[in-house]
Amino acid sequence: MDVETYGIRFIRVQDIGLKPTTYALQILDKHIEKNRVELSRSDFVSLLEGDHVTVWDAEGLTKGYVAIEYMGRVMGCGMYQNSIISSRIPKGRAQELQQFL
Amino acid sequence: MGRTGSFDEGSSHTRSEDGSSSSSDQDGSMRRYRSIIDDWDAFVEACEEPAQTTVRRNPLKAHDDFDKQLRNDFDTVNQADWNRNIYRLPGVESPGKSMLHWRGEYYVQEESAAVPVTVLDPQPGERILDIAAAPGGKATQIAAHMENTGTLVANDANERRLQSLFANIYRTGAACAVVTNYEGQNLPLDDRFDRILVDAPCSGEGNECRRSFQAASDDRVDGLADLQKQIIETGVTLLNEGGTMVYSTCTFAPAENEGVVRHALDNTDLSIEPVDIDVPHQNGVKTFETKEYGDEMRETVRIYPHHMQSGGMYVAKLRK
Repeated sequence: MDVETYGIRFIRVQDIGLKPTTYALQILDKHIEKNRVELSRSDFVSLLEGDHVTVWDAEGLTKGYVAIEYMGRVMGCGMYQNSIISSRIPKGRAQELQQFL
Repeated sequence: MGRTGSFDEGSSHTRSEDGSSSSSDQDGSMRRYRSIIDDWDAFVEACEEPAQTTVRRNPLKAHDDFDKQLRNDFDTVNQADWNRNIYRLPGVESPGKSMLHWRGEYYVQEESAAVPVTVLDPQPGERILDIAAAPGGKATQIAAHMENTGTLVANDANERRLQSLFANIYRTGAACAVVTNYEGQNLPLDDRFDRILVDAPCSGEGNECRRSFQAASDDRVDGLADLQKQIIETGVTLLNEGGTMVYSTCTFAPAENEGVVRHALDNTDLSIEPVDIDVPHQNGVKTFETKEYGDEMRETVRIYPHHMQSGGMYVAKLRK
């Protein structure tokens, strides 16, 4: 049987390494124990708009990809470096979500 | 809660002495089916109203506070008794406009459309085929029943509709789904499945009744019935011995429903099993106009718009 797609893509191979997809992080959700960053509504909205957000409580966070948490649930992928987070949620998906926040 | 045959089929007051329908029933409208609808007035009234908005909670993604968040987003939320994952949102016109939907925590699905997969009863770890899966309402429901273990082959013949299927699989986290693009009647025959859903392409009278109140033409119905029979025959080959097949449509035409099931019973190894579902419905019909479908059709189920304030549906459960 010829297959169009198998399951859901979990990882993208990029120049800087392996990147988890937003869909993968949402599925893993409760199982993600490290590199989780919870954001307030205003910070999450800023992030979705493309801004960088400062993380004040960065204990335990390591440089690299993080799971962005809002309202207790993992929403997608971000990049953390030097106390700053930027969004790695696909732009179209981020714009779609902004309408509902 | 269901109906179990208290309705006396074929007893329309417009029926002539020789059993044929009067000309008023043959005006091309849904009146053609009046003799096989238990409560005609309720049917007409339901067709004049939009279907109730319902959503199906997705256990693969829904958070523990789903119920609370949904009630925050929408003014009135009622949970269905027969399926606790079904939430009714009366009067809501845009149920997809919420963070919960974006995140895949629910799927916007007509309540009656959730019946076929409930009857199919997919289990974790199984191999399941959804022969006409796009845009993915029933496929994602199957994946949730499977708890994302095993393999779901979500097939659709229409390449354009595959895009919606991909999007819904991703959004709902249905990671056990594998997508294929074959005509249902021409699927390769080398695989075998524990359960198969044949939610067949049909004339869609179950929703057309609200739009135009027009019944499908005989030519269209006959052409679709031929296709449906071919698809079910392919499905039988692909089904494991002892496996379950659910045949469903969203139309009223007996030729596409009981007629196809009759064909399957007469020409394949399939036998019929009772549809055991606790929702308002009417049993399948054993005759319509000049056609005989047999007593076994009482084991199948017709859901009309007035039963669930939803789209029409026909469901049959078969075993190999």
